[in-house]
This record gives sequence, structure tokens and C-alpha cells, in this order.
Amino acid sequence: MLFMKVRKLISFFVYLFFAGLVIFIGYSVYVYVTNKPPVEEISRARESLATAKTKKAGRYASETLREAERLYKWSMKEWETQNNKFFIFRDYALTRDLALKSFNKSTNAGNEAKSVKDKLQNRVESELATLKKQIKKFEKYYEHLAIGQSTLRSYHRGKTRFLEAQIEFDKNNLQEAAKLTKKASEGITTAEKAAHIKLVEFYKNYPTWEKNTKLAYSLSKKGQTVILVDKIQSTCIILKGGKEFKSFPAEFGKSWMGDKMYSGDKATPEGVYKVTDKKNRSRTKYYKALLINYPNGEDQKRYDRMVKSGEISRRTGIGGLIEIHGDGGKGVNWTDGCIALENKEMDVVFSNCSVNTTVIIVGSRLPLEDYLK
Amino acid sequence: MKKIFYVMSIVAAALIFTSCAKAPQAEIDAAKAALEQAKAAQADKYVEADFLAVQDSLNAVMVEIEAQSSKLFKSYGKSKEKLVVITTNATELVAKTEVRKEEIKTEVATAQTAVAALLEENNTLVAKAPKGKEGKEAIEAIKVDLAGITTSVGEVDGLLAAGDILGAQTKINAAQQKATEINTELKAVLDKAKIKY
Repeated sequence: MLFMKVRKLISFFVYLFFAGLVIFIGYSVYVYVTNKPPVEEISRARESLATAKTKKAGRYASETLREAERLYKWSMKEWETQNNKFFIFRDYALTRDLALKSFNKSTNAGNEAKSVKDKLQNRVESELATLKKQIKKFEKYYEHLAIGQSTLRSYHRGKTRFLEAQIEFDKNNLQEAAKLTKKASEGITTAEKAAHIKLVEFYKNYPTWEKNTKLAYSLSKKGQTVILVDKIQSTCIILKGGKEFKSFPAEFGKSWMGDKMYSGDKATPEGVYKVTDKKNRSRTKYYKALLINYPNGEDQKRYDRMVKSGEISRRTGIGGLIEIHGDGGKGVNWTDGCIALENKEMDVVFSNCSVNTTVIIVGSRLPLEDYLK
Repeated sequence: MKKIFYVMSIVAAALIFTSCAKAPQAEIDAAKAALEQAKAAQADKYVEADFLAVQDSLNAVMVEIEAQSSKLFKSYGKSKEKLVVITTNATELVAKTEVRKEEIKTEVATAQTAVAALLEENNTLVAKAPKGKEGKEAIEAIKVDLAGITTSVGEVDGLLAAGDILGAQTKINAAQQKATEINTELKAVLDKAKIKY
């Protein structure tokens, strides 16, 4: 009897065990079938990340892309963690969620990159166009002026950066192009400002030049031959009968932008002068020469004033021996203050002048506004 | 009853053995290390498209590996083969990067030689340029430009020494462009003045 009971009990537990096993296997199969791993979501996130990178999100939307990559790596890590668990305990909900967030972030990164790139492209293109105009303006109005090596170097550095920016822009390296346009603008704008200040300073004597230019034409109308020198136009003009008879290119002292103040300043004087001596070949080393009466009365008064105020030392000297002479045509302003012409042109001026011929030297016949047109 | 028990035991054993297949960790580590080396060699800068392709391939294989890890019956054979290919490709990126760098360095050296020749020719042409008013203005501007080009060329060597090969390429290309423009300008001025060169 007892044996029968024990046997029945054993059978009960065996059936219970197998029932439990069947239930467990059934549940496991159910979980395995329904708890699908997030392959699709992760693949979408991966593809979206790759697409964002090809759209240069790494350059133009770097923070958003970094966040997308972080979420993607986290989702992969979470997936790995879940896979390390026994399959019925796996939960891919967080993995899916992270993959979806990564997908959205990288999609945003791709769109952001396109938007940033387009804006940057337009901005750099506009800046390059502006710089091109600035360069053209500088080369037309300022580059040939005696503006100093420092200003010219600044301009040149800016122009070089402009060319480099153009090359980077053509290579589609927009961020590098933007950096270079900024440097180009700094150099060119600094040079332009400095040159303009110098030009405005130069033109402060325009009222005197205007008066002297009128005087030159008036004297020539009255029958005199007048030599009119226009420094900014680098021109030496023979006036006869109130009109331009002949006009020649001229070269001056290195510091021609400004009136001559003292000996050795390399400036060409401005004012009304007279020829005091005609030197033929045997009397000058510069082919032929016309000596003028620098310093005149005004030059002397100005010099005396500057010595008195201490701006110039008395030992400096006012200078002299300013001539219109030959051996010009070097292509640069090279004299110590004289006006140099090419020899064949010097022949014409020499033959049209005599002692007491009026020589009027002005900074410019035109006002600043006209010069800058 | 015994038969059922034996069958269940065999099934359980089969489950245990097949689900014990391990992910190819050694191959994964090798592929990642090779990609890191490629990045250190600046492959992401000089052969960007190839680098991104290899990087994406690695990411795709890692997804496959985790997908296998999710299964009851795992199989990493194909993933393992792909990882070997990726490691090879990543290693090749290093060589490709060096080749690309050498190509650019050669381009830079060629451009430097061309610029030096242009500078010499331009200096000769400047000496012949007409000395009239128009010529004088052109000459003054050109002399400043030529001096600037010489400065730029000097900076190129510094960039190469610092490893900024792409920066050196941009700089020498800009200098060459400028020197060529000046050369064309000078020749136009000389042609206008009917001066032989």
C-alpha cells in the first residue's frame, strides 16, 4: 500500500516536472519568436550615420554628429549587454530607443551640415567678391602712392590670403576659405585705411595746389611757357597759350607724397619756382638739367618756423639743387627730390625753357573726389 | 518515459553546445586596431572617402555579429571572414595615405620649381618693361607682388616641415597663380610697347 502511494507520488512529480518543462519550452519559444533583436533599427541608425558623414556633417555639424555617434555606440553596447543575458531575460527596448534617437540625430546632422555648408558657401563667395573689388580699388588708387613699405606689405599679405582663400573655396574647403578671407580682409582693409589716411593728409594742401594750377594756366594764357608738374599723376606738362602743349611721365623723390621740408627728406617740393640755370650735358651728370630756385621765400619761411619750434634741427639744412633733369625712365621714384624725365623728353622740355621760366609743382590738379572716381 | 527523458536530454545538450559559439573577439580587436592606425596616419584627411567606407563596413559587421549573438544557433563564420578583409583594407589605407601625401609633396615640389623659374623670368621682364607713366605704375605694383611671392614660397617649406602638406599645397598654388598672372601682365605690357623678350 505504502509502495503504491510512493509510486503514485513519484509519478505525480515526474508529470509535474515534464509539465513545467513543456510550459518552460513553450514560453521560451514564445519569447524567442516575439522578442526580435533590434537589427533593423540599428542598421537604419548605422546607415543614417554613414550618410551624415558623407554629407560632411563631421565638418559642418560636428556636435550633432558626435551626439549621434555617442547614441549609436551606446545602443550597440546595450545590445551587447542584453545578448549576454539568457534569452528569456533579454529586453531590447532601450537598445531600440537609443538606435531611434541616434537615427534622428544623424538625420538632423546631415540636414544641419547641408544648411551650414550652403550658408557658409554663400557668405564666403560674397566676401571673396567684396575682396576682389577692394583689391581692384587699392591697385587703382593707392598701390602706386608713396604709402610706405609696412602698408604695402600688409596689402600684399592680404592679397595672398585672398588667392589662398579662392583656392580653398574652389576645393570646397569652406571653413578654411572662411578663415583665409577673414585674414585677407584684415590685411587689405588695414592697408586701405592707412593709404587713405596718407592720401587725405597729402590732399590737405589741395587749396594751394588749386590756386597754383590756376596760376599756371593763367600765366601761360598771357604768353608765358610754364612747366606744370602734377605729382600724383607723375606728369610734367609744358603749358603754352593756356593749353597743354606736351606732357611727359616724370619720376620724383621716394617720399614724393608731401612737400619738401629739409635736406635729405627725398621729397619733391611743391610751389611756384623759376628756372635759374640751364645745364647742358657737360655741366650735369643727368644728361641735361634745369635748376630751379628751391628753396623759395615760402619754403624758407616754413623751414625757419619748423626750426624755431624744434621740429627740425638747425643743423639739418633746408636742402637745394632741385632740378628737372634727364636719366629718368627707371620706372620708380628714385631721385633725392628732383624731377626726372627720359632723355628724349628732357630734350623737349630743355628746348622749351629758358632761365626764369616758371615751374609750378602741385600735388594734384584734381580734387580728391575726382581722383577717387 | 525513459525515451522522452533521453530525447529531452539530447536536445538540451545540442542547445548547450550550439549556443556556446563565441564572437570572433580577436578579429574584432584586430580590425578596430587597424582602423585606429589608419586614423593616426591621417587617412581620414587624405583618403577620406576610403576611410569612411572601411569604417562603415566595420560598423556593418559589428551589427551582423550582434545579430548572431541574439540568435539561439549562432554562426560567426561569415562575420569573421569579413573582419579579416576589413583589417586588410584598413591596413592598406595607411599605405594609400602615404602615397597620397607623397603625391601632394611631389606636386608642391614641382610647383616650387615652376614658381622659382617664373620669378626669375619675371625679374628679367621687369627690367625690360617700358619706363613710361603706365609702365612705371605697373612696375611698382609688380615689384611689390614679386617680393610677396618670394615670402610666400619661403613659408611653404615651413608648412611642409610642420606636416601641413595640404596647407603647403594651397600656399604654393596661390604663389604660382600670382606669378603666372604677373608673367602674363608683363608680357602684355611688353607686347604693347613692342619690346622683344
